[in-house]
Amino acid sequence: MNISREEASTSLKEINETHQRSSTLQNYRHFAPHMLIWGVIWLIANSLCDFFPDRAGQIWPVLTVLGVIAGFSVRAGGRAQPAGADRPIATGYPCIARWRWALSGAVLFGFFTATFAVLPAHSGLQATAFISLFFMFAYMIFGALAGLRVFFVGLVATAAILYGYFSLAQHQFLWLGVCAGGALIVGALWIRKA
Amino acid sequence: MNAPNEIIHQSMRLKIMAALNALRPGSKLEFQELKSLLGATDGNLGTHLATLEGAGYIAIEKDFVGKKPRTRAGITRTGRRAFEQHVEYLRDVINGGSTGPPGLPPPH
Repeated sequence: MNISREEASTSLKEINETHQRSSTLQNYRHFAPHMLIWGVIWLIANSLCDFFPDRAGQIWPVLTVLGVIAGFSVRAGGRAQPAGADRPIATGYPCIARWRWALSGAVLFGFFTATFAVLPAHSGLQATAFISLFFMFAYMIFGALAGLRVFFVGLVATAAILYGYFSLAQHQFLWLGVCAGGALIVGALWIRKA
Repeated sequence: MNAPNEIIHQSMRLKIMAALNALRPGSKLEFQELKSLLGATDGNLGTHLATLEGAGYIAIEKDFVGKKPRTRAGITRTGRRAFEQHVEYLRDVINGGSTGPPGLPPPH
């Protein structure tokens, strides 16, 4: 069997394109459940804050903890794999340990605490909008690198957050919950079908 | 210098191996996902999957989700090694390290 240089070049191009498409599909598959979880958390937390604004300081911590627990449950479920010599094998893709995720969560908590110490938020809505925007811009960066559908979900949610914050006179929390949380929920279903 | 792998080199099988090689540890692709990813037909994909499974390059699992049958494929250790060797061979050909067809000038 002889393979010409042109044929080898075409084959390598096909390999790279297929690898890229497969990786993107994998990213979507792993990211979608987390996006769905946080869409639901945003929807519930912001809606509750709209109806019970005095309880925002209790609503968000409780639902954030629930979201983190749900996220870890999804990861644990996704990692379960059968043993056996002829089973699919590890490809060397780095598997991030739980303590690293916990450390990352602590860093995020520290970041927001430090940020609000330097630039105090004047209202709960301002703090919520800032934190939501932070994560949606992170989605856009992740999407630019790993899959454009995530980028567009982040973009739509960002637009919804900014519109609600600057244009609505009341029920901004409800808007954040329904539109930004809804964008994440719909987006999760969209990228899952990719 | 690695030798070309005739089983893997066929275009559809090459794409199947590339798609499965990109998976994270323990991951598999469902038949429908592979079909959509590669733009293959049911019969064509099934035939090539069977060939790769017969060579020990992929493992195919069949189970049920509820009452719905599900077929999933993942790459095996042997398949990963064979795929990497074939890719290395292709790179060698491009870099002029292969015997290749006569008459082709070395790359500059």
